[in-house]
Amino acid sequence: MNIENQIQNLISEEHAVIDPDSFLDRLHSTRQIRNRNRQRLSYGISMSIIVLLVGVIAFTQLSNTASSVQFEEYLISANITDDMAEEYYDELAVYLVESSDDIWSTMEFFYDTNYQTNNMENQL
Amino acid sequence: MKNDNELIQQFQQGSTAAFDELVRKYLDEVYNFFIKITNDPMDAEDLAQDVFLKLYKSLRKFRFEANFKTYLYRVNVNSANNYLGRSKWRKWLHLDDRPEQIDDGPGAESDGANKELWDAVAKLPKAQRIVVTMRVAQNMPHKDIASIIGKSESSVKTNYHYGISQLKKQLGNVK
Repeated sequence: MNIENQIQNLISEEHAVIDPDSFLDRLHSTRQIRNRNRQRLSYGISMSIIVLLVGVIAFTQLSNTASSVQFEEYLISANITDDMAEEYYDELAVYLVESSDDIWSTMEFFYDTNYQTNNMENQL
Repeated sequence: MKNDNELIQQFQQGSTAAFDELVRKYLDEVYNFFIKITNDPMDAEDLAQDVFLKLYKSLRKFRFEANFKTYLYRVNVNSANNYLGRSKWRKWLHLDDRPEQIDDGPGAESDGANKELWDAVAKLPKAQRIVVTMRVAQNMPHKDIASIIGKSESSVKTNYHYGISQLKKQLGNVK
């Protein structure tokens, strides 16, 4: 069949019929399903954004307060120098040795806390 | 009977019944346009549904600058263009390959020839494809095609002429 005839046949093809009522039913139900899906998607996206924002805010708040207050920073902010801190530990160690009934358990405690015992010996 | 613009105005004021009336008025035309291209009632219905869903969304903002029928044809042609583009890829990926037809009815031969024709149309450059599609599937005069796609009548005629020559070459090579 040559192309002109084929096109002529196609143009003069008999009219196809579709039921408008059932088409409209399907059209509106598809439209509603798509609307619902779109709403769900936008709800999901907005909830994710809220959760993300809350997470970011909570993280920044935590890093600005509790988690960032380190012992070292406390010492600096209280104007406590290394010498002062060392003196305090030594005095505390002497007090613990003097007030303990069992000196070996106190020594074991120092060992566990990595306390420099030679300092303590000097003090004693 | 209300004209298109009155129906659109009512639809813009919230009347879904007005939109339904518009669908009833143009459904046959849109469906037949797509059935000639797809040769498949289900695909044609899906495409028609897509067209009317797009209209449902866009007609709320319709500003009556263009004739509704022209606007509808543009939406039709865009959908047909997308469909033909997709079918070109489907063919390339062999997604349309089906097992051998068991029932070769009287229309089987012409169905096959039509499919071959539309596969060839899908391979045409866009401008030629649009003109050939509108001319063949809608039986539209060159003048109307020119006003819809915003080109001169002579440009439409040239595109149609080159399109048909290309089709002759392509289909001639196949046979």
